[in-house]
Amino acid sequence: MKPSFQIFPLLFLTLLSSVSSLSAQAKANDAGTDSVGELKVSLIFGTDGDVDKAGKGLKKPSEARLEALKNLQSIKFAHYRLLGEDQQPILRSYENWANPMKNSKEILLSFQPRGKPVDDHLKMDLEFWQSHEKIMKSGATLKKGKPLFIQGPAWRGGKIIIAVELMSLTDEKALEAKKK
Amino acid sequence: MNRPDEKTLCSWLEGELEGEELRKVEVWAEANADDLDAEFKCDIGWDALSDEMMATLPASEEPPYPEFFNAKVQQAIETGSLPASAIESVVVPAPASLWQKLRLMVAPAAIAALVAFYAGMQMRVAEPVGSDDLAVEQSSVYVPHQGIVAAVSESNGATEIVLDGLAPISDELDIVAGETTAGSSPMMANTLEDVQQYTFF
Repeated sequence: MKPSFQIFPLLFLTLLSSVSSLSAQAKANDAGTDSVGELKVSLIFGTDGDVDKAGKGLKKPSEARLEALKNLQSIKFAHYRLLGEDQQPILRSYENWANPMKNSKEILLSFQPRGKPVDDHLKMDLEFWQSHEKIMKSGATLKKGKPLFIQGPAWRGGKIIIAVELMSLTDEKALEAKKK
Repeated sequence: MNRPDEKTLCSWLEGELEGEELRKVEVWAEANADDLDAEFKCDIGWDALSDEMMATLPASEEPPYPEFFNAKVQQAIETGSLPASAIESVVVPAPASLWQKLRLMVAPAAIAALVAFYAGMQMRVAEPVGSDDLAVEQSSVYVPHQGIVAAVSESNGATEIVLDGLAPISDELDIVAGETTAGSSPMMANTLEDVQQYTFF
């Protein structure tokens, strides 16, 4: 191999590195990827029958969550188990996903803000997905301390319940000051 | 001709005479018309006939087309065929135009519109109590699949959406163990984690 050809792989890698760096820089400068808050999505199994059918060793939801579940008017079960939970940032102008089961993508939730937070409220587009199909779309206004419960499909003698809770909202002014 | 007898004169006044007799009485009547009423004391005399005609005819009558009439009078004055002094007694006042009539009607309508506008500014549509506190409105929930119904309920502590008609997840599918129905995931590569995965170096 002539020495002049040996330099081509190095040139290619250098070019690729530059392109990826520019791409990452562009993403970093995209204000749409800023986090405006945090959303927590929990998957809960509710049943009046044998709770162990969901799986042995599953934890109960937290005391606060159990109290909230008992106060519900339409969704009422004798036993609850936590199947999984996921907390994700709410991107300013991009869709994000919550995958509470981690490994399983049977139940998913996509979310995207409809505008800027107003006080402690944030209006969002929430989409509930089951078995790779969009089942429901909702324009929900979420508020800290006021969760949204969605009673989903039946499974093993009970129902899958999706709990959506706004955990935090980013101070927009502080974010702007940090950027400057 | 000598004076006809009373019977003949009354017959003439009643229009019952004919022929030669009628002609003779008319010749005599023309010569002695002024004395007829007084002499024969008949109710149907010349004065009575005049009074009856004046009573029958109206005192004045509007011409059918006042504007046209006035224009013709003005034209006659300009050509000199009618003295200018006569115009005031002849000119017929034109009736009020449609716009003049409307002006009288527009004033109260304008006042009514003003009052209605002011009332509208003062009134506000009553909003449902607590509508601002609704986290999810029933109308904002969209379910694309037929047979699935979403019921929304609201309480102080939480919002609930109950989906009925969903296909159950197979009991054989162990979602806790990470199993998923076969198919491609709808998750898009736009989460922060995925963005970072595309950074090569």
